[in-house]
Amino acid sequence: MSPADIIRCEHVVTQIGDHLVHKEVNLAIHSGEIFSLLGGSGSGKTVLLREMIGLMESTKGRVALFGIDWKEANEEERSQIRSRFGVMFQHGALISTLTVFDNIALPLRELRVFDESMIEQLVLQKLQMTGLDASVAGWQPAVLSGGMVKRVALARALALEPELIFLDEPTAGLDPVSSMMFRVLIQRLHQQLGLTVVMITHDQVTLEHLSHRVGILADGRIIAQGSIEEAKQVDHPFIRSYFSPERLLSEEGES
Amino acid sequence: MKPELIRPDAGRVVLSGSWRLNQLKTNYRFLRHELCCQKESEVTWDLMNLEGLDSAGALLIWQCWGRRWPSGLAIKDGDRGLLECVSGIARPVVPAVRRDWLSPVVAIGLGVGTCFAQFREFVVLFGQLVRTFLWTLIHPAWFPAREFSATLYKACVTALPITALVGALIGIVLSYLSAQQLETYGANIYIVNLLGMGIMREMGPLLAAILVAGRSGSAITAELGAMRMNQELDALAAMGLSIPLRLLLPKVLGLALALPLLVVWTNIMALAGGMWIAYEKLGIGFTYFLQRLPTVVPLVNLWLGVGKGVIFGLAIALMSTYIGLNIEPNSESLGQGTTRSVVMAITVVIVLDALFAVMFSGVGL
Repeated sequence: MSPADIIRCEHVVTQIGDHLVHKEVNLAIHSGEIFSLLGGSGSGKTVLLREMIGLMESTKGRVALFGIDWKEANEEERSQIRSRFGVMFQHGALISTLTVFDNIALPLRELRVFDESMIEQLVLQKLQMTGLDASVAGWQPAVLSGGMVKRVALARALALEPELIFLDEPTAGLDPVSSMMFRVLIQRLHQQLGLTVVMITHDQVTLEHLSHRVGILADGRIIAQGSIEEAKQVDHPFIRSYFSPERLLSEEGES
Repeated sequence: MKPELIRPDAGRVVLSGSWRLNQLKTNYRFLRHELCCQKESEVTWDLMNLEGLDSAGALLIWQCWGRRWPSGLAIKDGDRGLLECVSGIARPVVPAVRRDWLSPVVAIGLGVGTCFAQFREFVVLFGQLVRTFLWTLIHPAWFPAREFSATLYKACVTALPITALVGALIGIVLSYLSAQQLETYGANIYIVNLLGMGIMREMGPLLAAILVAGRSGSAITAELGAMRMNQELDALAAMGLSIPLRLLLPKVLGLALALPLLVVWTNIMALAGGMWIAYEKLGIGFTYFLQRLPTVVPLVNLWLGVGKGVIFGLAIALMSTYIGLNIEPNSESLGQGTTRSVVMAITVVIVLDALFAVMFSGVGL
């Protein structure tokens, strides 16, 4: 593994109750790439994401961001790591009592460095960057459409100018057009800001359009890691059914 | 590298290091001050040595330049792009606040209007429930028995320990205070009248109702509110399940049965506590106490207390379901609604209790 790896998971074992979620996960994500984590429902993708962003600890093994292991990091190092990445949760996780503006301003205000006028400018810039009109700033999250919620969530994740951004199901629940526009947005931001993007996705179109590399999680292990073409070569029931469901159907028909 | 500002000679300002938010936050005020100090003089800006720039840094520089390009500037293309991007952000327009002298009057009017609207909604809800209840009388097979028994278990069985504790302690307190007063008049024996009447007629129903309002009333509001936020109510309605029948009626009837049962239980525990202190302080034996109780306290007082329990239970359940169904889909409203439900339920219980006291002043005394 090269030093350019922004995230490394080594021999990660996770047990929740009696259920062994990860048997042995080894994963390296390079700096500056768009990496997609793929896997069936219940394969432990979200658990792995939660371990990467420090909301959970693995039972065994190490998960390191920017070369720092979460388990060994002290509180100061942890907060330093946290300030270097942003997360967009699947359902946005916007604070329902705050307006769009206040949601995006929240992490900026928490720094206690900037004055209100600077915060205002930064928030407006984030809105602009994510393709939102400045007039939505005063809206409550409850009245936003699905696509707008995702954009606001992305704007909030970008508020602290992170180098790394996690997207949990960025296009899930969006119509094809919004989904396409969101893909374009991610691509543009990736180029503009030089972000590293780690996303969990089920959407094959998003996967194939955006990702430089993919990691496929099944049976508690990473069964394939590399470009999509490389991943397709791996012989595993999940990969077969994911990339060519029609063959799966015809096989079923024959038997 | 930390962001730095150097002025090697009079005509040049060099910015170096990483002007990213992560670095800037440590000495933002100092840098801002330094940058703004360079504004007055005509200088050339050298940004070629920047290691990194993000929109926060770009915005800071742009603001200190007075939102226009300086005459002399050396900068990398990428960084120029960022500055251009930042320069496009409009200054926010603050809408002028119009002062309206009539606003207090408008507020009062709106408040009264809301009150009427809420009262109307409440009556509609009550009507729906009555209609649903009558319907289940005709179609007993459709009675939501499972939900009803679940409410009964949650509101009554699990409340037994707390009502027992509170009841017994209040009984002890009442008995203690009365014993001291009665002893001075030598009227020891009247402790039975006092405790029997006070607990069965007033304290038992009131204590049980307040505890149920706090426990089950808030739980009902929070449950319905969360279901509304999560679109569960919509899902039930879309599946053709009647919300008044499956969700509201069992809760209302459940509380209307749970509370009188708890009233009896609280009465027993409070009387037991009182009896113990009567024995300790005044030497009145348990057997004597229990023999005397039915002769001095007419049975109608017990029924009055239990009847109040039914009405209080209905009132608490109606308040909490009404408030729960009207919760807005955000977490603040859920918290407010739950609080409001408890406060309203207890207030309504006490108001009703006062009404009962006046209405039944001639019964059983």
